[in-house]
Amino acid sequence: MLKFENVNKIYKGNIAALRDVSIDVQKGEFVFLVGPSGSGKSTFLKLLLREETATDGRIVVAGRDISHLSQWKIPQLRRNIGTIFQDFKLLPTKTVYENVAFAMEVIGRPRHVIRTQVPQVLDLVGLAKKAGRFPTELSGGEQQRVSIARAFVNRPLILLADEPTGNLDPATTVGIMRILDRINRTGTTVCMATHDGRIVDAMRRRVIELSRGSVVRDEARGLYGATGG
Amino acid sequence: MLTRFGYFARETIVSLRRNLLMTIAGVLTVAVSLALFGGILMLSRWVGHGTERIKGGVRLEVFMKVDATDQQIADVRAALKNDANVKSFKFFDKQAALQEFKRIFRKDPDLVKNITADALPTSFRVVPVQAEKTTTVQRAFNAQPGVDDVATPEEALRGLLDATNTARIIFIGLSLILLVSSLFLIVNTIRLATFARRREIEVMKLVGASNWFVRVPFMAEGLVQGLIGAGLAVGVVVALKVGFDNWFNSPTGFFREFYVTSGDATIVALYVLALGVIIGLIGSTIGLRRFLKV
Repeated sequence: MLKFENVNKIYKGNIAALRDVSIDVQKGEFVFLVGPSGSGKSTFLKLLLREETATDGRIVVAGRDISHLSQWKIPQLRRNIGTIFQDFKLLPTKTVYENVAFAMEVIGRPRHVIRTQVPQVLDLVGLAKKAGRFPTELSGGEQQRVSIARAFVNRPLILLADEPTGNLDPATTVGIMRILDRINRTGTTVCMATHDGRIVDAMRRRVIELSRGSVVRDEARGLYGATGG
Repeated sequence: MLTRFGYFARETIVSLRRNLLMTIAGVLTVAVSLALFGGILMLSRWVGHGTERIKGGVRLEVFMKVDATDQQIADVRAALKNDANVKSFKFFDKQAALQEFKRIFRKDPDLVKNITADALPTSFRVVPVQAEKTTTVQRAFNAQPGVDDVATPEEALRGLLDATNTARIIFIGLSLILLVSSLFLIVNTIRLATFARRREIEVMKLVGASNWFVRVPFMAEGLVQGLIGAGLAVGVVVALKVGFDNWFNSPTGFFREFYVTSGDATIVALYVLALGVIIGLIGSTIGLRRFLKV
């Protein structure tokens, strides 16, 4: 589903963000991306979304080599990838329902599809009763659930999460992880960058650790810290 | 498709209203510059019709007698061809004379009705090598057999043509400057609009909205500004057409040969509209350029 082959990313000024990274993620996997700030996690996610292009190497997403994707095909790539962020990126002038519907509207989905899909996905994240609220009227955890609903409503093959629980307290975090787990069980590949050791240790999923741009660890059922075996 | 159209229309209107002051500034500058542009085109056409006879440097009209023989006409033609002071000339037969008569006296239908081509003289329109040679040529041909009169079109008419040409350059220059400033205003409006909606644009790109989908509401916004401005300028063009018809209506006055047709006004209006559309689209394209990168 996701494949990096000897990928290097060097920013202007000779700053190497990723060095010779090779990773292969299968369909339906749940992957934690760990490592200190500046280790290359964000660059990794940006390359997947084609917000940045790799300096060299090959990146394959859903069977398609995106290293040389032309500009106008990028939207098509992004429709296969749902993304959630630490700061939610919700539109404050739109209600919960409208925020989620917006993601379908702007890629031209028909209205009747929007009308059936949005309530379904709001139900999945447990916000069916708050569809008419505005983001400012919700708690942080609820806002993150709206952003998950928005990322998932177009049924992407891959869900990228950039520190989704970074702003949330432990109890709320558990709720968010449950939802991500549920989405993962539908066959969606989930790739989550995080600093939260407790979640990683509790979930026991594949862990890829980056350090100064290189993969230093890739374990099938890893912990946040190195296990040494 | 209908959903999309509704979406675009809604977004465009919301955005135009949000930047109301900038929008008005943009629309007004477009209107003023295009009105200047349309106005000078109308004036050029009006003067162009009125000075038809002296176009291309014609300074002399050699009128033959109405009953001049073909031989006499041929002799004058040969003499014109051989005269070193004559740069070029053009022959107007009786039919051409009738056409021009009808044009000049179009406001006097009785006169036009009673005239036939036979009653009109043939003539030569003569361009001398230098303006100073005009009287020399005039004297040389006055004496030719069959020649009725050698006329020199009103100097005042010529002065008007020159003045119009100068005015045209000045006004087109002015309207160009204004067009450029209206372009900048539209660019700025679109930039403000994209800035006001940067979160939405970010989300749209994130979920894979196509570039065109993101762009269309902004392009439409620029287009609407250009079109409204051009619409106002078209109003000015129409007013000028009506004005020219009414102010200079005397069949005997100096301006009797001056007029603009509805066809002229339509063509000018189309130019003005096209220019408005082009400015709106170019302005929004430039305004969008910065954010279009990912």
